[in-house]
Amino acid sequence: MEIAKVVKKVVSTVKNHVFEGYSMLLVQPLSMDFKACGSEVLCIDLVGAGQDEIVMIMKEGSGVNDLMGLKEAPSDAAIVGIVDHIVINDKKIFDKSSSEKA
Amino acid sequence: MYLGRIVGKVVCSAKDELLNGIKMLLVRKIDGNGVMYGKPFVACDSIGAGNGETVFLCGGGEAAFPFIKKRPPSDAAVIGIIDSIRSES
Repeated sequence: MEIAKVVKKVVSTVKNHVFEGYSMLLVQPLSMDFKACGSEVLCIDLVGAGQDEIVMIMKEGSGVNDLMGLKEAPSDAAIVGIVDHIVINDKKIFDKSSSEKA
Repeated sequence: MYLGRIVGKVVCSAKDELLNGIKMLLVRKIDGNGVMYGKPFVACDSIGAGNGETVFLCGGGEAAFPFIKKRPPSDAAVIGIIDSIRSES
């Protein structure tokens, strides 16, 4: 999985039927100094993430299909977690409650 | 999935027969602010997107799935037309 930040909400009514009922959020993958790294990814939101939240995304089609309970769905990215805190070498580099991050 | 904009279309008569009947569009990626980047590429249209429309696509192996029953050799498929992209903060 990757650490990313929710940047935009995407609304689409004319879309493949598997996306019905899911909200779609655009996320920006982050490096560990919380800078943008890599291109933005459009994910289905499985955990109710909000704007600017630090989340964990999964970019593997078969895994996302399993999470949606589908076999052959054209979905290949999903937000699977909202990050509370990140620790590297016993040092907390991110804490959602105090949000001393980027 | 990722965001894109339709910039044109591609017509091939000699092609893999699994691609028959599938419209092929020329697409460029866009970022969250709608700015196009990268070189144009060809994507199969599964949703009827028109030229200039902002869409979202899926890539890789999953791009063959929107075409029921047949799995065309496609690594990019247009799977939705976007109404709005907005920041809620």
